[in-house]
Amino acid sequence: MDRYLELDKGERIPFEVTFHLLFCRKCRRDVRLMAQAEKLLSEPLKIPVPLTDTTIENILRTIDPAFSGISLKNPISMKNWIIGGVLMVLFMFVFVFSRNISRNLDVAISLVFAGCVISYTIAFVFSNIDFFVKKINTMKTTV
Amino acid sequence: MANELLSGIERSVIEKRDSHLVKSTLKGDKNAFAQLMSFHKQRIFALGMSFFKNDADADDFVQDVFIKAYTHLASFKGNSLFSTWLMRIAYNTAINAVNRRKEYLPLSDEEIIVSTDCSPEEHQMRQAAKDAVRDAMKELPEKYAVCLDMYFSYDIPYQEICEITGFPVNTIKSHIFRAKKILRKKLEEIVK
Repeated sequence: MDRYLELDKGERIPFEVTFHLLFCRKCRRDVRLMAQAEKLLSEPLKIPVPLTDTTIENILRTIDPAFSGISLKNPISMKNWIIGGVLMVLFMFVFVFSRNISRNLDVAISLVFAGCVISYTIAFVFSNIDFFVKKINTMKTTV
Repeated sequence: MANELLSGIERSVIEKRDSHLVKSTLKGDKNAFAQLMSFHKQRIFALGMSFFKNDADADDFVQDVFIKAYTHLASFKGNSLFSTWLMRIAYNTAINAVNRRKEYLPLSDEEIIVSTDCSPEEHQMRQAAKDAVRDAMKELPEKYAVCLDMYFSYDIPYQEICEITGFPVNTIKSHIFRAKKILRKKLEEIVK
């Protein structure tokens, strides 16, 4: 157990410790409780403050006296993301099945479509990054 | 195992998010800096409360730290996490100010931070963790108390605490190890 207590945050548990935990119920329980307690202790400081916080506004005014207020960007709604994704997939199907594509272009078109899907996914993840951070945090608590 | 993986993913997502916001700020986007402040204000405020023990001074401290961060943002090269870089500025600012004033007040000594909604069991567990950190702090020279807070409350790993405070990493490790032993004992008592 001491070996486990020496570990840093996010450090991989060594094989011998994992092996021991597999067979020792008490240590397994202790590890679970320790992880949960540490998580609970650090949780409150991870909550973001609202952008309308007066301190934030004061700082922005000090940095830029001409600052007139935070303009919150209108996030793209989930509905629009879904419609966009469905349209993209539909377009791909229509494109592939409505034309007689030569074998030489197969790979090129597949790569273009793959690029579109990757770009869409990256854009989706980045514009909803806070949601993903919170989700990972919740998963960490439940694991 | 899954926890370490999730921690790694979370860390990398936060790193990417912050580095994107830093780049936007450097291009002149004030909203991006506002977002950075929104993500990190709680920690800086909590550190300020530990050093200055009152809202007004902690608030001034937050402003001071973020203005310094904004002024020196171009010097942030991304070699460490933005949060580590910011905490280093905050810690140095606080140490310089506190040398002229009062001693450090550990986070566990007072309800500095607003607690989140949690079940009675979770509340009990959080209290045990706080007690453990406080007990471990009693055995330490005062200047090391901040290391335990950084590890347990600010969720900062050993090497980053070393970078922020300048204390040797082995000293930090051994103090945290002792605190973890106390925590384990306290949690055992709860389960019994």
